[in-house]
Amino acid sequence: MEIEERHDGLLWVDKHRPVGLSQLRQVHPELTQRLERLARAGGDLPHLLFYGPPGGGKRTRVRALLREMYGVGVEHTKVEHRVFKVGEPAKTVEVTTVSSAYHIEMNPSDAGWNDRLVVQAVIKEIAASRPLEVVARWGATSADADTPSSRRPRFKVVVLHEVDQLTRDAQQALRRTMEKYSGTCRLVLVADSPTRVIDPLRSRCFPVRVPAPTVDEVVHVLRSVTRQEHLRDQDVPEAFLRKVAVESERNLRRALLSLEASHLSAFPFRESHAVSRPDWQVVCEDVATLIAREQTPQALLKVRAKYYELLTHCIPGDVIFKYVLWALLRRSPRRLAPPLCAWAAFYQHRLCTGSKAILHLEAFAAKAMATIRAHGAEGIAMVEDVL
Amino acid sequence: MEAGTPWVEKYRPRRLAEIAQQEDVVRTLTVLLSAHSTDSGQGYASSLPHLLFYGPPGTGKTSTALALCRELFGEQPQLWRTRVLELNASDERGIQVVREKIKRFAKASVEQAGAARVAAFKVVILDEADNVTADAQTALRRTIEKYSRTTRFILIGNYVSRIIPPLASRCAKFRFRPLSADGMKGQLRRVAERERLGDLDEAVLDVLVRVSGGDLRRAVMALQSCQCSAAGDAEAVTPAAAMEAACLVPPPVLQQFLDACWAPVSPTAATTDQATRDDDQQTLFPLLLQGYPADALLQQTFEALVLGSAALDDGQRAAIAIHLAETDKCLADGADETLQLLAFTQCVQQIAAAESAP
Repeated sequence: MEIEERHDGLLWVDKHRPVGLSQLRQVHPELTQRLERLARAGGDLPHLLFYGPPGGGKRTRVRALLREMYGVGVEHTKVEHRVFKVGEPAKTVEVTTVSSAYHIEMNPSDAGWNDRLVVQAVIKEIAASRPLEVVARWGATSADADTPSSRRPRFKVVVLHEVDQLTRDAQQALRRTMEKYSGTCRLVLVADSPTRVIDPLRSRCFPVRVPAPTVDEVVHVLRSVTRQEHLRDQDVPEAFLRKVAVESERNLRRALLSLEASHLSAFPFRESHAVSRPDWQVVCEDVATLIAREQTPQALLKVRAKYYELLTHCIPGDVIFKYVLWALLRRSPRRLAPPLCAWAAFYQHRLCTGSKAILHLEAFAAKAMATIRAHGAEGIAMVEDVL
Repeated sequence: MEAGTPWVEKYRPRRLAEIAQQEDVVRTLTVLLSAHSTDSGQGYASSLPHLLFYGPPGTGKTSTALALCRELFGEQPQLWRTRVLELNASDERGIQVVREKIKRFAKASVEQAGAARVAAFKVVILDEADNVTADAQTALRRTIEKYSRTTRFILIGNYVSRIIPPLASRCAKFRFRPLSADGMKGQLRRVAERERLGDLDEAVLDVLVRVSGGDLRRAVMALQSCQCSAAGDAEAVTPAAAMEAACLVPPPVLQQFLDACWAPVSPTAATTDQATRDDDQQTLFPLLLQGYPADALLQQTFEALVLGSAALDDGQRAAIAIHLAETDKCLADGADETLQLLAFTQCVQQIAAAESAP
């Protein structure tokens, strides 16, 4: 009870975030076991690379692992906004760090193009010094070898988030740092996709793959959250939870957010209830409908308006690409699928090497229209048929 | 070495003689070292030229450089501090640093150390030198020549082509070969023995060797990863665990992906049936949600489709290979994995369908 009051006002996602490995048995139990063994390995812990789709629980697992290794001490964290002067000529770099006595978390890609400097200066500085408590314990005799504090590893942990967003230079700079200071620190890298992590880094890490939870697992977690929120089971039908899980693409964070949103708008849940969808998804659907219905410059103008609407709401270009494509595929005959996919992939690639999202999104819309046209009256008829 | 260092560091070779597999390099270096050691006129190892080590990762370049320094200066940290400057990509290495830091270090004269087997010069190790900008490399040219009496340079890089020719021509080049499968197995067994892992399954060794492609560090790291997740349970060190530890896609999952590629596309079926249209997404999405890395998936698809598949003719294989390369390039540029893989599967479907038509 007392705990719940303290957490009042938090979103469900944060409120019910598991803190220890023991609470992570519902989702990926075999992965949890592996992490427990890693935590017990203590001193022999290799550098780690956590990867997997978003909302699968990478961060949660990293925190749980740290807690298992160091005890509750890691939860006494402080958030600092630090300003560093690094490099020659000196540049000012700002990073936000979350740190405890045993670990430090940061997101070096926040520094943008200067991320290499963060890695070179900041991380090296942290990596080169031992955690205070360890220094204090240095002279201690082995008499208290079995107390919890002495079983704690003698290094600290640097957690780097979104490593896949780091520039190549910054990743290169990590290589030797990881080897050289392996006595005093371990790196835990977190990335959505390891594809963008350079090979030399990957070969230095123990990979921990965190898959997205299965639909059943998501449902299970959602159920336990609703129970903790004191919602009666008959008000939360299983079929509805399942719908939430599928709709959120097995992304646990999204599932919880959308469940909470639905709870605010329509409770008690009925099986027939539609899952509350983010607005931007609806707009993406609209774009696809526009493209499929009419292939004219006028339609393109309407599409542009929609695109701008999305972009001004900070929806990233690649997300728009994906959802427009999915919606288009749903609206078009199978024959059109290969060219549509190919063009979406083509323009999305252009987008990530270019800079202005709107140009590439529009180019894709125009190309999609042309593709539908190219299949002649038949192609258009097929599209209309589906509509 | 304290306990708790990763195995790759723990078993990093300390002496030249311990370097695995690079017999030619080690032999030449040993000869260079001993050449003048008996000659009273000149100091120990004074005929050592500047060196350039290049070769794929995990073949022992950095280890050799460090081991060489150990041969030159012994183990005293005092001496190391004044005699060895190790710079790698984690250090700032712009032209400014070359002009000031390296030059200042190279310029300083060397005091004669008492011991006979201590070289009378300093060493600058420029690790990952292929990442040094061309400007900075140019600035190094004269520095290397001018101070060669007091300082030797060891440049290390993966690609010799990224070292500018004037710099490369000032060094004796040593190529490090990828380790052979047998040599690699030998090294892995040695580590296993020292870690008291018991006998390793031959199949596990095979997997480790295959996935690491001559990169010993990767193999040892993967071995430790297996061991870590098995936690002393020798039974748990299986080929499958080795695959997982090496970031690879297990065969059943790969098969799912290949099936998605093969999904029959009949050119006449203008089906509007919802189920068939969503097929590709249905098979592909769950696959990606499991978090397997897209580049490993492509690499293994290449092995399976282009190298291994008997069902395709040469033209089709070539076409698929081209698409693989393009997709890989796009991924390396940071394009979205889902879109790229979806487009790729569709492409392969079309290529495969084109065969059945005539």
